[in-house]
Amino acid sequence: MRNENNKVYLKFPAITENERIARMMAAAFLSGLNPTIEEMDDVKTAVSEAVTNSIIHAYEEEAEKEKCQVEVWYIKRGREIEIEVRDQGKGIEDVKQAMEPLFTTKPKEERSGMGFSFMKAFMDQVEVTSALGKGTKVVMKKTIGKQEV
Amino acid sequence: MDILTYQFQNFLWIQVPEELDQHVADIIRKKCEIILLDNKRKHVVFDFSKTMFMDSGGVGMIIGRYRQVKAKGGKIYVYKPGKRIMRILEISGLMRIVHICENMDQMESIMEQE
Repeated sequence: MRNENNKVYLKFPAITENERIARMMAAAFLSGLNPTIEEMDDVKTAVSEAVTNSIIHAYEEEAEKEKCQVEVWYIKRGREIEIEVRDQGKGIEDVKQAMEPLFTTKPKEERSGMGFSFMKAFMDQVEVTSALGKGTKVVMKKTIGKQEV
Repeated sequence: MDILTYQFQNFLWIQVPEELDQHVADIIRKKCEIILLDNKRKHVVFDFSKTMFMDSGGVGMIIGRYRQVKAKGGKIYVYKPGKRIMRILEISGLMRIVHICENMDQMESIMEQE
């Protein structure tokens, strides 16, 4: 019997090598729903984008990154997956502008400005709430197995 | 993580690992920035034959290399991209600036011309 609901919590220092771990957890969490390869890749990409944003933008001082934490909740409700990524970094001044395709505050570091566009392209729903100096929360949802219905 | 690169004629060949995210993109960027300062290497080949995953971190890094070689008349080639990589190239608009190369025969004829 498959459990309809599940919730897994992951907390890690804001360093880029943890992007991979956040993705692997997403893949493991999702596998019980028998997703297609495409659905699996979509969720992994979206998680990667959200976590990378927190690591790159929320905490600016390279030295303090290891002390700063990124938190991810993986939630399953029936066939719906919800991923919540939260940091306690500097926050986003203008969320609407940040979500515009190609907008980036870090062109010199070769950020493409496509993070939020990818999240929106690969998930059904993306919501961003942010407060300056307090942090940012990204909530993303996707229903798995829509083709079968 | 060690990234394999090969240099021959005016090409820099980069073996992209299984996953290309921001972490790996930073490593590749650091490695090829210096090599590309040498004017002899003007074209870059990203070998995606083993790559299953790429996010916007990889997209930014490829755009960065495109900017670096464009001035000296260089091109960016993407070798053997899988289905997922093709999707990311399309969504990101990278298809407009890179050249896709499906197999070694095609690659060899490109190398003879360039």
